[in-house]
Amino acid sequence: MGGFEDYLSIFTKAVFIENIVLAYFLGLCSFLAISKSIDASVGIGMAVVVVLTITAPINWFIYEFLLSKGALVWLNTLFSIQYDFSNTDLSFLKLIVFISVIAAMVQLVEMFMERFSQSLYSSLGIFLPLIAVNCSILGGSLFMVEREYNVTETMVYGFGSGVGFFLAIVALASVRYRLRYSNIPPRLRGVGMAMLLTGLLSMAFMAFSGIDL
Amino acid sequence: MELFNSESKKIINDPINVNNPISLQVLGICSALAVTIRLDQAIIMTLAVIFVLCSSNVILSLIRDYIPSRVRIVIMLSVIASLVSVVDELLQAYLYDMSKQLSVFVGLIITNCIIMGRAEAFALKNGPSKAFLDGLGNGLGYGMIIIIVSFFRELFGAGTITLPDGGAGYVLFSIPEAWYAAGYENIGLLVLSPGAFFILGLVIWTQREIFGIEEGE
Amino acid sequence: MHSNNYTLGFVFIVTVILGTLLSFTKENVRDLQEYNLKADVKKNILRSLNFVETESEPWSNEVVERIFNKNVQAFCVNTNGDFVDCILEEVDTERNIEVLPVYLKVVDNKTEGIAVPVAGKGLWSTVFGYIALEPDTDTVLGIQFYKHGETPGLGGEVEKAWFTNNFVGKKIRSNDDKVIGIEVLKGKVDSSNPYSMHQVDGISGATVTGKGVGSFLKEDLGRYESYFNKVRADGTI
Repeated sequence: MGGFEDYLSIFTKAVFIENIVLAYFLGLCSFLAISKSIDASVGIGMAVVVVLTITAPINWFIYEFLLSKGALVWLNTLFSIQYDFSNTDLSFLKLIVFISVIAAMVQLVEMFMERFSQSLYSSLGIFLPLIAVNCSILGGSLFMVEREYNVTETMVYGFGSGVGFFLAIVALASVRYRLRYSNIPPRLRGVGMAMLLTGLLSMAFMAFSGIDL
Repeated sequence: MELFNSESKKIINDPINVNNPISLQVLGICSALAVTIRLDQAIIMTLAVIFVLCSSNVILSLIRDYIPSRVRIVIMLSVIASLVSVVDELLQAYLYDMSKQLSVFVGLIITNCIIMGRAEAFALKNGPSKAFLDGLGNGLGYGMIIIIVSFFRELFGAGTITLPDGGAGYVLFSIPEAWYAAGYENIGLLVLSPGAFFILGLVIWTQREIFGIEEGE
Repeated sequence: MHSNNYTLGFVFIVTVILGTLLSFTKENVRDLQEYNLKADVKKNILRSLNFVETESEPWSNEVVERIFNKNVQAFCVNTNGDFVDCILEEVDTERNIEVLPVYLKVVDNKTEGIAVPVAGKGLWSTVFGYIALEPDTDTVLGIQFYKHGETPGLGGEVEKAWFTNNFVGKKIRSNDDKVIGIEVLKGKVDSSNPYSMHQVDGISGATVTGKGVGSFLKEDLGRYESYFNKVRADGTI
């Protein structure tokens, strides 16, 4: 297992073929709302890359050493005889733990940014609270559990999904910008048109699924 | 308070028609599209969302006066996350095949913006019975859209209509073999993700035409 | 503004209540969930062994359990083909190197098929399945893939009947009786080729998934070779 090709294939898959927005429909709320403006799209895209890359591995560690079945086996060495932890399975807590970790991490990232990089904070700061409840972030963590990635694969996957989101939202924002003065039926304007455009984008991204790695 | 006075009716009706959470407020689309490949998935998902939405609205409305505002978001998230976990566990126990198909999308109900949105905008400001009706109305509005989308995707994409039952689903209708023999073809694109976007786009357009709602770009 | 103590206390109480609620639910449904998981595995074994689900008797968990108990014998062997003790549910089918599970289809005291688990890398993910052979340990009786993360519509087609049906009747042994598995081609099988009885049609656009399936079939079936030879030599199972 492992090896460079493996990571490359996970990355390509996360960015293009199984793009988190265009193939799995995650993070659509902010995707549609924010793609009205290109600058804001770049901002939230970068924020998603940062947060996904951080939260996916953290949740991996928590899941692997606290929640999954047999994860607490390391406690056996601490309390040698009284209890046997090798069959403890806390994975039913994963949703509540993951979402709390994400909310907490978003706050932390926000505080660090404010302290160390004012310019970054002023461009990304307002988007951070928004993405705490962005489905793509929680989705990233849940997919990594379901697909049984190891820690490096999780990092690559988190980063790749973020990049995929970034590409998709910037592309949609650019198209919407070009369409601003086009003659679209009035009631299709806005979200309806954005939906149809997203469908076309999604078709374009599907063309990547033929590539063999 | 009378349960079905005109105000209560409005709370239920508005989100289904003129203020639909998906097509007009553009909330909660994420999970909506992923589960619309088959009608039975959409129906079970709707029930799960209605359950979570109603219970979270009622619970949060009951404790709204006691929640410290600083930790408001965290409390809302943990109540919602617990309810979703309960639904997830129950599905795994009683509707195993369905839970396998819905996979992570049950968990993603947590980040369905409708639920957080209604909690923040309605439940924290109103009493439990109104909050319940609001949850019900928005859940039905959500359900209506995804059921329409999944109906078209399944019928024209896979050529069947499947209703939920205890196992892998009950096929209510499927396009007769004779049609295929005569040259009819399923539209494979609808089963894939772009199909979902196209159909939802058209549904939104239709609904806005009906209610005459425009949005400035 | 509430005091810090109030806030902490409130969060604590909410956490305790929610935690209790969750644990309580989990405790109540855990057995049922595990039962479902086991029944699902059995369902896939039955499908590979060519048991057919009928309209009149859909496969609920109870029906699966009953057919399985009545018609399937399960045990483990090692790579030398000797019986070994094992707990079937704990065998890791992805990396079964030492302890190899075997499922026999026995109808009216007559053995009709042998199913073994197979698993390996496709393009993106590990593909899991069961392959069943006829008692001659050569001809494929059925194959079933039940878990994978391949691209829907491309590699994901491995689980579809049109693909798995192609395996039925193919031979896993070469002319000199070695276990060589089944090769998934890129494109169609040329039936005039004498080698075609070891080949099936590939899935267009999913060459790598097909190659993966071919190579793990060869590897996993190879581990059972000694056992298969014993079965064949004895004439009985």
